[in-house]
Amino acid sequence: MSETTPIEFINLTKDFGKSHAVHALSAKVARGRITGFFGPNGAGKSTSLRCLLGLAKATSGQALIDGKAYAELVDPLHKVGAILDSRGFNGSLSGKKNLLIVAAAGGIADSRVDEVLDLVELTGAANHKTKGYSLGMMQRLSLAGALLGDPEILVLDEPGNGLDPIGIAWLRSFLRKLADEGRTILVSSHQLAEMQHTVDDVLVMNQGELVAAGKIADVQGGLSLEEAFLKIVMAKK
Amino acid sequence: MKLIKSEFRKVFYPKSFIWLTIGAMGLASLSTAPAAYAIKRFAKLALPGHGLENADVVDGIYSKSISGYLFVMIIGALAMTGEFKHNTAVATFLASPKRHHVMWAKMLVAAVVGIAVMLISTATGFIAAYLGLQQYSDAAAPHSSVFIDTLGAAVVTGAVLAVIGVAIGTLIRSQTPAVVGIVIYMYLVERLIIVFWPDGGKWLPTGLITSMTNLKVSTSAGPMTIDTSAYLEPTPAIFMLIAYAVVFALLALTTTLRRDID
Repeated sequence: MSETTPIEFINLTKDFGKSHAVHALSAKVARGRITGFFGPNGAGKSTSLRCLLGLAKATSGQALIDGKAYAELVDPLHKVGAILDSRGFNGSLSGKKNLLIVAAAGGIADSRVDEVLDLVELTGAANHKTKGYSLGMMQRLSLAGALLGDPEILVLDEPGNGLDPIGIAWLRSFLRKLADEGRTILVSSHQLAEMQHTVDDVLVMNQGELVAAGKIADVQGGLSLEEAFLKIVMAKK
Repeated sequence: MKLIKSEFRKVFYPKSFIWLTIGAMGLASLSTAPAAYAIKRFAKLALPGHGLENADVVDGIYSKSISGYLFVMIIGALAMTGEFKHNTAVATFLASPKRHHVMWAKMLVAAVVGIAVMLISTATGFIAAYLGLQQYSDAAAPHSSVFIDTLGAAVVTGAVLAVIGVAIGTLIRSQTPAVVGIVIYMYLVERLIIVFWPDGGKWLPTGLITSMTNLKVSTSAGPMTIDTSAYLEPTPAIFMLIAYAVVFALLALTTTLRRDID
């Protein structure tokens, strides 16, 4: 494992016209831990993640992975796995074919596609067209796609969206298993009650700014994560 | 090589590729098979010596076998617009964050596929033209050069228009406007320009494709004139068509491709 910070935001700012989607975000994500990235809708979480992954250009500042911009990573799929949009599949193709396309682009063996489909328990639906998948199945397929390169770092934007309680419980244990393997996970979510049992550290954003960061127990201050979150966000309004 | 393999999978996995190839074959056939009948049917309107007994006219029928190029351009456009339609652009650019590498791979694959589709559809057009002409015993034999000229033009057209299609798909991003725009422009706007303003039309892709077939046609009716003797020679036409592809590709690389991916 390298000694650099796996994920670091340095004074990151992203403007859309005159509005600040993200303003001067500075934060670090610790290696081998699950960090929750929370905030109300429009807080700037997804935009920050898109800047981190090179999909959006920062107005100023930097978002780095192991000290490098995403575009500078030599083998990005082996370094970072990401979920940004569970709709990101061609509906006319099977889940397996969608992943085979990504695997080829990443120089990953086709056999790995079967492995990750098995990991997320989608083997039975592997050859079904994704337009027939439920939202929960799409989330699992997205997770399979993120794991294709067996990456050290996972960046997951709302991976629990659309999952039923059983799916949520599965996701929780799955993320914990991945973290126990030494992976670094940055996960954004609105499901605070659930995330309380999953994450080690917390970053809270509101109106484009980081308003709280630290170990979950410190941020909670004896409250539930949801209560603490509301207290932090309301205090900044 | 990784990206090229991935791009080939994107082209061949969906069934739409088969339908577009069939479309190119159908268009090539429809452009040639009925031509002999139409020329016979309207023989009285044609200038003397412009019937099927003229080998240049028969060459003209065979050269229309190249007409499937519209579908090649659409295949090129779909290579990029499909990424945004299906939201797969995120996965593509996560796998290869250097976006210009993705575009080069798409253009290379589109060019190879474009050549293959053009060879298949042009050969289909030749067969359809032959079958149509077989109905008329007085039809002249074509010059043997028409087949080589048309196939050569098909290869260049397939490669270049597919690349232009990728660039247009990158610039427009939205699939329906890109495809509809290509169809309307190539099959309506350019054709009207060629007929009513031939001096300008010969510099446009359709005029350049006609130039590459080395066809000799001269006819007029009222304000409409088609006289290929004023067209460019095949070699400058090839370079001009390539220049279009370069301009479109550079535009796409330097503008749209730099935008944020939603």
